[in-house]
Amino acid sequence: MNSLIILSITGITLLFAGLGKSKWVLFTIGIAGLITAGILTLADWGKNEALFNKMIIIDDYSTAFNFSIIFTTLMIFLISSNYIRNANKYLAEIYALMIFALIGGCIMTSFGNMVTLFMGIETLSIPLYVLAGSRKTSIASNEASFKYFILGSFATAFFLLGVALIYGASGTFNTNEISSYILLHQTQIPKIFYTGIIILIIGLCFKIAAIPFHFWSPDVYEGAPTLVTTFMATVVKTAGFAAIFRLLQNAFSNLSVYWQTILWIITLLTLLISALAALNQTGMKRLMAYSGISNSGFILLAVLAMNSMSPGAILFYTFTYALGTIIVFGMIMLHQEYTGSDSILSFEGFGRANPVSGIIFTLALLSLTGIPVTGGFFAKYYIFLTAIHSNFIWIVVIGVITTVISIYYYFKIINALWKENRCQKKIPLIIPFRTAFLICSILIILTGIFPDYLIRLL
Amino acid sequence: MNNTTIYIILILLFPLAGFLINAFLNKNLPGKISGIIGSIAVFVPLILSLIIFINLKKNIPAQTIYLSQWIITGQINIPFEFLIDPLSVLMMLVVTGVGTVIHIYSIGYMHSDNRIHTFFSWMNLFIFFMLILITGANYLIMFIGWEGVGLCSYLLIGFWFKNNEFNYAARKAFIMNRIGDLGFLIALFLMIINFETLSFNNIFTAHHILSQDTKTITIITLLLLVGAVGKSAQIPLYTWLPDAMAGPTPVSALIHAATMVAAGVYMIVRSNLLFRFAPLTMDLIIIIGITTALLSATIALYQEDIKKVLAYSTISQLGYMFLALGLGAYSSAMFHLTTHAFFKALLFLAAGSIIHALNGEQNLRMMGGLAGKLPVTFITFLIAALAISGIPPFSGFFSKDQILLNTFNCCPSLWIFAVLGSILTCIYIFRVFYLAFYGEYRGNSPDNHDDEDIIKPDKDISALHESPLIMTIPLIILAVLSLAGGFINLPQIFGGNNYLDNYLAIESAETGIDDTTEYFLISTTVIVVLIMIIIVWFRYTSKPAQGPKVITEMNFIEKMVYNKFYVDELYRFLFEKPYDFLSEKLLPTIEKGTIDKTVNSAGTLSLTLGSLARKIQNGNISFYILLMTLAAIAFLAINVFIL
Repeated sequence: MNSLIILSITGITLLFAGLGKSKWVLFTIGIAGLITAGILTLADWGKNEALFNKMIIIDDYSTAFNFSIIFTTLMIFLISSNYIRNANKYLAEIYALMIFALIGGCIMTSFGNMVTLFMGIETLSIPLYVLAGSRKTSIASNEASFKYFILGSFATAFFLLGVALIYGASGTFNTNEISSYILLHQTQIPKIFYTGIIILIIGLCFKIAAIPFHFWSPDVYEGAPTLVTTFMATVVKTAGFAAIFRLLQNAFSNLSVYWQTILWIITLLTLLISALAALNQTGMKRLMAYSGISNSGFILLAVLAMNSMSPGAILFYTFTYALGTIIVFGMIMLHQEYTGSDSILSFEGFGRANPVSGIIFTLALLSLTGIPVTGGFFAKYYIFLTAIHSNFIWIVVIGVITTVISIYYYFKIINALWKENRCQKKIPLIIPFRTAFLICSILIILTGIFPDYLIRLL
Repeated sequence: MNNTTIYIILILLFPLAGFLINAFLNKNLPGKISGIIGSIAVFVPLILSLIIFINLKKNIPAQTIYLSQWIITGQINIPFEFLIDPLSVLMMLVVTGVGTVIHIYSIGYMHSDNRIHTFFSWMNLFIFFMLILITGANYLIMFIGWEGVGLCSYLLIGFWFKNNEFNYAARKAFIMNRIGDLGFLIALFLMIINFETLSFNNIFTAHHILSQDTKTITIITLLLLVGAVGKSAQIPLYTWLPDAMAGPTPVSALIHAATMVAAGVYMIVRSNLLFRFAPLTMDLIIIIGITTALLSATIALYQEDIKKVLAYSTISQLGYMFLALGLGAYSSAMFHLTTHAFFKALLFLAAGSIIHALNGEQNLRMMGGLAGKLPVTFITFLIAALAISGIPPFSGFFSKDQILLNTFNCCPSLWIFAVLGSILTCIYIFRVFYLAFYGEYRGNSPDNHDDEDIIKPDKDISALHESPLIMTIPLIILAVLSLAGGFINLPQIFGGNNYLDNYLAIESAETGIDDTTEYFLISTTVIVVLIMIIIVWFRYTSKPAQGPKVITEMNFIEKMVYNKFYVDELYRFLFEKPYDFLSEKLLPTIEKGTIDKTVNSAGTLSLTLGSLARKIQNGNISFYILLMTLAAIAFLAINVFIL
């Protein structure tokens, strides 16, 4: 809770500090606020308390996910440092909006009530609509913002309708009360309650970009500024999964047989279509969008399984996925800045010109693929294990097949990185970038060697 | 963490550190320093092994050192654990002891090679894996070492990789060993299935399986035997070892004589509680052992390359160890393994000293009359030759004698063959001895060059000189060990108390032979061998400047032996040729026609589907919303009508 207050203060301070000239001050304030919030979150470990009339529940689940997204945002702040060099006019606003979105994410992981969840989702989404359009002169950015907004509102409508239907049947917004309502009225639950669950799931699936509600993702990922895309691919995704799992577990786990069928179909579609669609992509950001959708499919497996291993598996997956994604988008950002292109072809020879960056980039891609000695391997392993534990065998087989397909498009990038190409220039790394890359790659290796410490947390 | 745990970790870490230093910091080190680092990396484990040896006497006889968890799936739990018991300590002492001596020798032997760092890094890596093989407390850890030493052996045989024949020899060794490793691996799988564990302690105490399921135990032991036969170069997988002599001589001494090839023997001794329950396997081991011992001793009689003679001699001596194993005389096998490590390492190093002096010449025809020029080599070689021939009081006498007694105890007819083998042993080793050190130097007589492709620059006998101290001191150390090594297991009839047998405390077959018979058997063997040495003396030193027989003068049987009974050719005909034929036929049909096509079409299919999936993403918001609504309706329809 303290961390939320600190984050809010940081956000507001950033807006005021925008009056000053120095961009590095903004950067410092942001970093300091995030580090303080991170430490305060860690201090909450082991606590179990309900605040505001059970609207907010702080427990280890929320603490772990909150720390994960605060940490991720910190890394994104580090790689935002080239915005400072390029003297972006609206940096204060961008930073502040990002912090506000982060607050929304933190609320999404610790809600005890569907109204709080809605608040969290909207606090997260509205700044993002603006952020997606933050490159004001770029038509692509404007288009991304607008598309995201329209499709997002559409999904919000679904979500609200779901909440309303469930309230209509059960008379409560509180997740635990809904759960006990299901237990008490097992045989006489009205149809609108079931319909409510389905519509609720559809609304949430939009946020995590599960197929067939993913349409915004490739277009918005491509059009939005890369920094914002990074934020969407990591923080938003982690928060979204933390929320969807918490909601389904706290409120609807007693009806799991019922909604699992729908989720099963969504998972299957997500895994298959994203892997296939990614094969022919030529732009890095679009490819990463599909890779993100595909990863949503994997995490959905753990949500679908809904057993005691799920929270750990989801945390592990979202965290290692964020590490790899930050590195990849960081590299794309640097590369775009120097060459103005994000096509896979333009990366040819990148690794040979910048060996250290090339190795880190390759490591991140290996982790995303799920090759051992990287965290990504154990992420996929635990997800599959969790799903098998609940007897979802066939969909795991599909998951393994799509992993094999994913090797093709990830290795296409690695292949390009190390091709012979003399036109590629050396790209210097400034210290914040180096720090972020170093921390992320060390963590990728550490999670790959000692997965136990992270997986046992939840 | 108790002391032994720390010792065992250090014992493993030192060779590994030596490997890493020599492998990665090599550019900054002069060759001598890297040799010293390599030697220290083996010497420190030797000291630590001695400390463990002293401690072990006082304390509990065996202890399992658990380092960490490793593989846990379902019922199977394979930890990272090491076993310290008399058997592993004895092996550790042999490996690090002989290893240290050979490392020091190598500093001198390899000094002019510009890849000396690589040499020492691989040697250290070998010691590391060998120690893992020895100390592992379950079959999987042993297998890590088993594969690791195989790798190092491959690397070191092909150390002079510019010579293509050497590369071929390395590959041959590797592939032959793979056949054995496959057997070992399948045995591991069977053990996992039947015992649900790979730890020695658990398997050897699972009496309910061991005593009842004879069939399974027989299959497992047979497969383990396949592994041991591959690694220890026994019939039918022995042909790689003579070719392995392509490696530098210290490698031959360390890996292909003293330690790695003995790993098969060690593994069977380690598993003796399994083999006890498989009499069929034991009989097979006897047959393999005695046949290998005789066959390779015979081949050794006609070899011209000094290292090849020693290689066949190694195979033959390993055959004796297998014979002992098959008879259930496990501690005798370990005893012979130990003394053999001493005298065979010495033979190789002495041969290396000769080769060093002759600038790389290995052919016996080019030697002769070296006794006066290489006095230390001469004397140490003589000691080793006496040891391997089994002349008292040299070490080989005691260990071989134990095996012979066990053989006699089992079946006297087999004993006759075993004695025949030891007669052959003394003939081939003294043939080499006389050819190299007596007579006249033949290196500069032109008629010996006619079948050589490259004529080496003639060396004048006066230019020959003894090897430097760094090479002769190791020879002397090993000579002392070869001379006195037998006393560690002095039998009762010579006033000893069978120290090694008692120390190892492995339940071995008892020889119920009375002292008179034993005296008679021993003296018969020794006298026959001594007579043979004298006969060989006359054969090879009577006429001046006589080298080995030239092939044109040989009769049919001699030619057979000279060509190693054409076993290599037979294998080529039986396995290589059909294999080549098959692969040539299958390449266009199965590989290109079927497999490639299937794989490629799976890829094409995915790409086609991919471009379809991509088309849905057309950038039109109305279309997106339409699709999302349709999907929502579909899900609700499922909700209403199906669930």
